[in-house]
Amino acid sequence: MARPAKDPWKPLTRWCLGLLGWLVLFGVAHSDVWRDVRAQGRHVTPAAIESARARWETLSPHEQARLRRRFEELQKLDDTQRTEFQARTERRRREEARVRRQLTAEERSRLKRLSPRQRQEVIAELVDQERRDKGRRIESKLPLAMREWLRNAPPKQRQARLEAFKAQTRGRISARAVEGLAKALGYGKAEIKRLERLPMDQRMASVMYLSKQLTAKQLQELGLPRGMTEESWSELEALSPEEFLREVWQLQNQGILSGVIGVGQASRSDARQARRRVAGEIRRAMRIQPDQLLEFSGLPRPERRRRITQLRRTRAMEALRRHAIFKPEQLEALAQLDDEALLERVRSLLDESLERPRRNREARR
Amino acid sequence: MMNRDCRAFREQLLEALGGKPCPTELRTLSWHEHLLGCEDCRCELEREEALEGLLATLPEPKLPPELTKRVVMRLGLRRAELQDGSPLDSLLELDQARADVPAGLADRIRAGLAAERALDGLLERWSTPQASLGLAPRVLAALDEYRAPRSTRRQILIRAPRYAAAAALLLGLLSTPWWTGARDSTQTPAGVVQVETPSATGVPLVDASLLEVLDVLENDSLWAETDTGSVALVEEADLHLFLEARVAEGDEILLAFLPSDVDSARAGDLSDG
Repeated sequence: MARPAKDPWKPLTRWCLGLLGWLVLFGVAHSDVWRDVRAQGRHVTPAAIESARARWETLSPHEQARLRRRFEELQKLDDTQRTEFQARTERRRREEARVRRQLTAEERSRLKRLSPRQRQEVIAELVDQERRDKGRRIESKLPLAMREWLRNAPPKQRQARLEAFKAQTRGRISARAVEGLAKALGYGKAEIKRLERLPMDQRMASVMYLSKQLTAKQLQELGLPRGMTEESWSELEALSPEEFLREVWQLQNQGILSGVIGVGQASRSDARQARRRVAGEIRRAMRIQPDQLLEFSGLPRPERRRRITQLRRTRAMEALRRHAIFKPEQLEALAQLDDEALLERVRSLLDESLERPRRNREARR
Repeated sequence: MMNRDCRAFREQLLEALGGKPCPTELRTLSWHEHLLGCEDCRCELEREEALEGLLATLPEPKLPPELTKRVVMRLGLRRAELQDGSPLDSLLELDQARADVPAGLADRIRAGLAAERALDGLLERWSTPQASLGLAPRVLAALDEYRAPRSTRRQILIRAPRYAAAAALLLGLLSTPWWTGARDSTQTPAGVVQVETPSATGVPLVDASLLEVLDVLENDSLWAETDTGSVALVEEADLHLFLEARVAEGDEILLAFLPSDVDSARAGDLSDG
């Protein structure tokens, strides 16, 4: 006996149900209300809107026009860019909070005495300095040709090229990085092979994990840096690999860690350690210090920047003379440069002569 | 064509058919792998399922209360028949031989035996019910109502109004002003920069969506502005901030492992686009 025939309406019915579902989703996603719900996701309460409106009304027409131009720029972002921008803004807020925590008690009390706008500017300068330091560090690790291209490319084209470069690097280098890190940590051949064969996302996670392990090992071998207690070391060690490395690299940028710490830079020669220590001290001398920002916080931004850059120049030249790493004629040539150019030149000299001999060879080719 | 698999399946089917009619037992068999390739066994199972379904709906046959006594008696007679010939003859002999036997006993026995035969005939018919032609498909069709999912057309008739009502309710709720707070019906849709239009009081109106992000707009550290007044996100304008924002820690680690002899050439490929 044959089974009852299938219902010929079934595909059409399913299609209709699917269409109905999509129509509902489309309607919800495009309703004004959804935007409001998203706005609520930012925790924008009606009271906050009213407060913003009151603030807006105190602005001059020129200032309002300026903010409108920024708003227009924000409106041009597509959904992905908007999400990235929001993520960056959130991260920036966290970084600002961290920078505040790092201030000394006296600096915090001086900060409290400033107007909200001045406070914001001081903190923003410190955050930007850290971000630029990290950006410079990344730039110094890029291949010369890529660096040159990025410097000269129109900003709108940078992202696509950088993404392509990252994808290529991941494909070609991640297995090599896993091998290098695992060997340095004493892993066996079989384990290294297993790690190399992992899918890309897991291999990248392994890279992060092994980097943390190696950096922690180097730190422990060298002994804890000045100012770091066993307790703060334990806190540092408990962080995720990403956070741990971010913190360690930040300490390096600030010149607090100036030993041989670094992935792929496990040389322990005394000469190299000494060079890196000196580089760390000169870099620290060139950094914007919170007390400088607090001192000049009442000045207009261009004037404040000029005064602080002068101070940084003075401190950098003192450090260079003290350590005598350059010949007198090199120092003389540096002294002829203006403030910004001098700081940039010293930075690149430190990168090339103290930390990037490999890149030097490449540049000479 | 019956093969070994068919025979094995039929044996299982017979086992499942033992005892009281139980269609669920046969339903388990309908998952049998053999049925995927054997139309005959599938039809056989469907027929049996139909009959089981029918039998399961029949009332339990009630046996007459005196049946046991009669069966025992008949068994006794059967034994006597095997030993002495016809039980009726022996009874008749008994009837004739003994003066104290009640009168008319033989007639009553004959009448009892006739009733017994009638009962036997009835029981035999019960044990092998014959299904009428075309009964199985009709029973299967009726069982499908419970066994198979409802027809899709019927489903859509039942479900479509529910979905439509839910969608209408959701959209209605979401577009109702009380949900989002008191919203001005004349408000410009969010995401559009409103041209400054003096309100009735002469105060310029401002888009609420701009006010929502006013703190972001006021944060100078997020924006880069040129002397000509053009505006860009600071990461676009500053290479170092761009790299900081776009290169994660993992990718930065990989840069330390770039081979020094080939990386410039590869990067050159990239920069050539």
